[in-house]
Amino acid sequence: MRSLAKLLVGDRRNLAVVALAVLLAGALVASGHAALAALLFPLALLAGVGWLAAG
Amino acid sequence: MTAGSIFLASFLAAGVEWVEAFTIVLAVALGIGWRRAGGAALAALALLAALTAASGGVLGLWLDTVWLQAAIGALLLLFGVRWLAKAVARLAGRLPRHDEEVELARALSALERSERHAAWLVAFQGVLLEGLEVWLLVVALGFNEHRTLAAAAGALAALVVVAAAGALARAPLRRVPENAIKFTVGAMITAFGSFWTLEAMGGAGAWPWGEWSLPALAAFYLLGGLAVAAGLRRRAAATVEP
Repeated sequence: MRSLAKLLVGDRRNLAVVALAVLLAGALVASGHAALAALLFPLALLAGVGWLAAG
Repeated sequence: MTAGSIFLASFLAAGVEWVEAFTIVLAVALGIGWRRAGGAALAALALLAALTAASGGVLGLWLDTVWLQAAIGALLLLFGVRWLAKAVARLAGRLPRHDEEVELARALSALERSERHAAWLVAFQGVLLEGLEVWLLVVALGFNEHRTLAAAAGALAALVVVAAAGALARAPLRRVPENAIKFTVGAMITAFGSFWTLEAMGGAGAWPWGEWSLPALAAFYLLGGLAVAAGLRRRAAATVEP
């Protein structure tokens, strides 16, 4: 079960990057700033990729 | 509308969806091979056919694809971000690059079995989601005009054309180096994941250019990933120099 979760989700850092980016985008969409979400969501994910690659 | 115009509308609309599905299969095939990626695509199409048969052809009338889109989008993000980060780290020299000749030869070894399983799932889910969208198109076009057969034939013809075009693209893609493949796959899967996740949260108008935002996102992650790798290389060089 644990290996299946790891297979789908990756490690904690990977999960944290995606969760934070999705939360940010979700909050922006919910507050009526969908256009800003379309801009910041990919930027947040790319920043996360940079953090994961550097770690 | 005549049967011919329903066929054409279905062919074109389904063609766009099949191209998206094929792009995912293509990206995954570059990492785990065509046989496995094709198997995942066929499994998704078979599941779709089974669901359609089991539901008596009313699958799309009760299925809310938004939840499916959100779940699959999030899984694609988890997978794509992981691959892109690894490829960026290799490009920046922070992870050893794989010997590409050796890597190709042991592509089916146990070393990256978990990644291969995850990649198989990505191809499966991508084709399943796009297939559901095609199903909805066929339902919408066919039921409204009582031309289901023409709509279904158009969608199937589009699938055959896209699959044939994809088969022609296979050979040249085999010569692409391994890390470049992982980089591209990571960028493309992350693009699909971001597109579907935000669309599930914000509706069809969430992306400013609609479906054209997908190639823009893929280009953004590719170029952005290159820039991040260059930045990490510069930082490492600055740390080494006295």
